[in-house]
Amino acid sequence: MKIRNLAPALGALVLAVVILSFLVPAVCALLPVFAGGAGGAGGGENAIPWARLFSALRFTAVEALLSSLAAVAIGLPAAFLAARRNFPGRRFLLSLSGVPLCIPPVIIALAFVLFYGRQGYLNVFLMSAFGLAEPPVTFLYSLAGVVIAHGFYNFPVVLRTVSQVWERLSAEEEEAALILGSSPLRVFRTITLPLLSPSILAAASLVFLYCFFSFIIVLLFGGVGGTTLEVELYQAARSLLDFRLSGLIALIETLAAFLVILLYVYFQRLLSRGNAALKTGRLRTPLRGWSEKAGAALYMIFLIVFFIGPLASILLRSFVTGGSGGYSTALHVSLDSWTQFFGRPSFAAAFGSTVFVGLSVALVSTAAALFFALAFGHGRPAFRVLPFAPLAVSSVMLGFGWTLLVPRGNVLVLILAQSAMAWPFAWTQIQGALDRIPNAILDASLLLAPDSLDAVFRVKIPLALRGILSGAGFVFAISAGDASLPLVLSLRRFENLSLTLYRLAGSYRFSEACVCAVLLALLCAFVFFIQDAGSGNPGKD
Amino acid sequence: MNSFFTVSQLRKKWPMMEIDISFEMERGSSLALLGPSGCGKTSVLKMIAGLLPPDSGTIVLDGADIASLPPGKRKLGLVFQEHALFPHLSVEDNIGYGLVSSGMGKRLSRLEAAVWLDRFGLSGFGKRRVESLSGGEKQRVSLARTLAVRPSLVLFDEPLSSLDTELRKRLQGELRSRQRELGYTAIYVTHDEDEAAVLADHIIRMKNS
Repeated sequence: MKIRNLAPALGALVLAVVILSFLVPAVCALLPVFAGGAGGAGGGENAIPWARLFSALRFTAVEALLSSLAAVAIGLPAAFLAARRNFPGRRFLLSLSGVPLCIPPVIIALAFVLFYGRQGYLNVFLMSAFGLAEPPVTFLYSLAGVVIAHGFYNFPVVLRTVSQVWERLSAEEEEAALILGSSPLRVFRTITLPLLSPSILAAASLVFLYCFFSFIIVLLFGGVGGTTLEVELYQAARSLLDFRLSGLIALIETLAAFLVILLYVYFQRLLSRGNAALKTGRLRTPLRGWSEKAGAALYMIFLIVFFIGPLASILLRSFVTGGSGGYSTALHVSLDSWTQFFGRPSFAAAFGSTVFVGLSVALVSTAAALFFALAFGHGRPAFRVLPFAPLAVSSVMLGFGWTLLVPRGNVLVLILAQSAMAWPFAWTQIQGALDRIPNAILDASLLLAPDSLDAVFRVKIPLALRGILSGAGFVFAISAGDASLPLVLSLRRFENLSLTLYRLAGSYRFSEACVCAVLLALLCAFVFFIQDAGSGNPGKD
Repeated sequence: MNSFFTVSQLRKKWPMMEIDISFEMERGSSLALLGPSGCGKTSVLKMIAGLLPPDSGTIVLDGADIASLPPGKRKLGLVFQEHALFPHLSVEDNIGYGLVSSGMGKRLSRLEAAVWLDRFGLSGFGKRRVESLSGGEKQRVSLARTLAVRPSLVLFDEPLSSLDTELRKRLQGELRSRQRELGYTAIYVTHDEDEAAVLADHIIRMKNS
């Protein structure tokens, strides 16, 4: 018997393990709510602080809504420029769409502290340029700080989703509207915007979901203006040990997120229906007139200063030491932070476990996602919705469920928990790649192959290879950058790069934190580069 | 000849192709630009419509030079090859779109659209979505939308090429009779010699160059 014939059974087994790794802890996290407070070491007899929960829910929803609006506001001009205009910075703009994929939120949080913090580069520059005694930029540790960090971090989601539709919108509808006497502004408002709206709403609902469950950024910046359900859940589960309260917060979070996911799936369906009518693309034109050139230049400067600036601060800060955590006193350029970081006793272990856990999670998630896509991809519409289920559950909630199941967690638990959360991201890439294979090719492969398994291995998988590898790279980056699950699971004697980064930033050892961030970003980018180079050009799927 | 529409030395040059065209038309007449794919027929239409800037040349419609006007101010209509109906609007709002652009209220534009639908044998189609229409129905809605703003010149870019042979033959006759009935001046772009002969009073043959 060929090993290949065992693949379906192996795939089914991995998928079952991944699904159970999600379902069982999720149920465990919710059980204390219905068990009348008998759920944990801390008991649950305390009265539920409804006012506080309601306030956290309101803060979470407002924060996520404002963050989505900020991401759309920053992302729409980028989508227009990338889809419809040719100009020297276009490639650079497009490359930004990979940022949320390969730069973890913990790095973004650090970047924003370095750039926008009270002693950050922006304040230092403004104070010295205008002779100010107090730092003028003080929004970071507030709702505005959380929203701006989320908006910048997630605008590439809007850029990617909307520009893919915008570049394929037929020119004829807009031309027809122009000839019928509409001004360019009315054409945009009545024709272009309605045709783009499913893509804008799909991207915005996804950003809303990411921000709804955002943990590290809120943990670092929040607190002054309010806190989110996710942080409340972490505190209830880890500090108060109130499992009934934790379960209740998890339930509220899940129900709210589930509603958003239904909206996201609805917008996605509108989007794919609209995509069927799209053309193969249209020629991009150069920037028109001085107003468009000036607008594009201002926008690019805005992005470089306020988005690339914080990221570049990390690299810069990794080569700067001194100043006792600040920037205003006695800073000097040196490699001290690098040598200190590499000299840490835990460095090798942290690096090793990041790579080991990342590769394991990528392998498990990709195998589960590939099996699901191949087995159920052409099944009922419900099979296109089910993989989104883990998005309705926060990583803090899942980690909390796992700690109830296995109080003394280990690396295997981390791999299973991360796979349970990450496999949908691999699935979207793989399913997308499989969907792009023309039906005629699939029909031909079925007619020419001895059995359907042969067609899967010789046609479907090679043609979808780019999507499969991209999904694996994506999952690796998610695992490597995830500080939430390792933090919640509080594994004994476990250290990885994202945890190290979080702890260094939390203890104001910014230079070493920056070295760690640069390493983590390089590692994720390296995996992306490898998968991109390795995927070659398999039939232009 | 009493010229209603004049195109003089309209030129456009690309690395691999060049257009240089001049012609005149009487009011209410029809002209076909006939030629193989890639010879620049559609580009001529787009230059006349203001969607593609020419390198040089004049375009005079009813005594006014329109070459420097934006598309919406040229008082002409364009019927697209793939109809270019707005997929997110109903049939009546598609037809009323240009009327609303010119300042008419939405309710009045819908009443006007109903008149056009009646004239084109599509009564009761006003609330339908455009994706539910057949190819022939889309073609009529597209023509109604163009004519509703009463353009003095109507440009047709391969108006029947996306339809099957039988329907194409039927609509050729219909387009000809509409033009006689409503009196607009028409320019057709086509690669089909028979179609050009049925639709147009005059034919200009274009070649690849």
